[in-house]
Amino acid sequence: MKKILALIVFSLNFHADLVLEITESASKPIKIAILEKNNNSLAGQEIVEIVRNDLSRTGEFEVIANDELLSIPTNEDEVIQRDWLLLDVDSIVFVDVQIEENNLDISYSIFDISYNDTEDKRRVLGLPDSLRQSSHYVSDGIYKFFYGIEGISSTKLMYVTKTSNTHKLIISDADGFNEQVLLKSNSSII
Amino acid sequence: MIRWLTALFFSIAVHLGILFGYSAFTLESNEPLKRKITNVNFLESEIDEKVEIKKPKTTNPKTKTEKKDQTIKEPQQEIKEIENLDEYLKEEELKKENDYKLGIVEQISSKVIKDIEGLWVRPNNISNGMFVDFNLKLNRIGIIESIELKKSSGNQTFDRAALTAIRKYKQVKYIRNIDDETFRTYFADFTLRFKPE
Repeated sequence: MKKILALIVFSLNFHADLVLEITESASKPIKIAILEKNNNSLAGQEIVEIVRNDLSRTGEFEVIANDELLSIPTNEDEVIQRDWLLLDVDSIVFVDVQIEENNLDISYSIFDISYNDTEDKRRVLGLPDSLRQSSHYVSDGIYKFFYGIEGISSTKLMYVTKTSNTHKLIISDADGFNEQVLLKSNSSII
Repeated sequence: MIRWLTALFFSIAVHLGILFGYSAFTLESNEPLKRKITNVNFLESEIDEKVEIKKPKTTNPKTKTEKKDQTIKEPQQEIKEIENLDEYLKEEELKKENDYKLGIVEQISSKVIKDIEGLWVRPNNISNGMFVDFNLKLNRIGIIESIELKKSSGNQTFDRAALTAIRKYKQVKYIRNIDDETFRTYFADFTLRFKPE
């Protein structure tokens, strides 16, 4: 009986397998490029710029500038993998912007270079006058794809300013744009 | 009497079942991991057992050689002892070879770990004790031929980040220089575990 038990235990623990355990991760940012898909519209350029700034500000992304690129593909099929591997870029984000009357439709796809295929496709809908806010949602979506938690680009800042004797309570986007004064007072607010 | 026997048999069966179930569920967490200088682990203690077996043998020839001086009168024993000595020497050589091989395996492993640690950017939503296992199959020149998700961490972003690191790695360059047998036993098919601390 003991022998059988020993045999069972032994066979359960018998794994002639090498296990390499990786515990540390690189403390470098993820290198990505953000490009506009197909047409070069003014709104599209603006959105790409906003997203680029949002992601750079997190410190966890290195967004490569357009003048450093070896080739500028306008869609996924035009990506030359070799060029991007040379630049050591991880992913390309293609942003496609469609504006029709009262609709702002931003769809973006994340193209993985090493896999050479599109990994994820997402879409943000909004009104044309909410272009900044919608772009922030795009940034947060990209951040979440890579880091697993929600980004903070679409959040707000609230702060108090004091000029001479006027105190102002102001709310703005996380990037400092879109300031709105909530309260103006001669006495101290906080 | 038969009742007693059946009851006994039944209880043994039940206990075996429990043992099986328990060890199957706790196998992942209670692995007899052996930490070396690098974080290379062997899930199985085959090599150590060999060493343990050898140990008593290493003491034997010494005592016998001592005897050999005293008992010159018996030539038959002497022949036996010499045979033992030869065996012992052979084993010693084997052991040295094994140690040497293990040294190489450890060297390469630590290099691979270092390389991948340089490529892996881990996500921010990591919970304690989370890990993901990938089974890698290499060809003889070290190119990763297949990556198989063996045990998911349950976190898609975490799994993807690990997979991206492996995909970027592409080739284990150090494998070219090792001999076929070491390659087959260790690196043809191995497990890569991402377990942040």
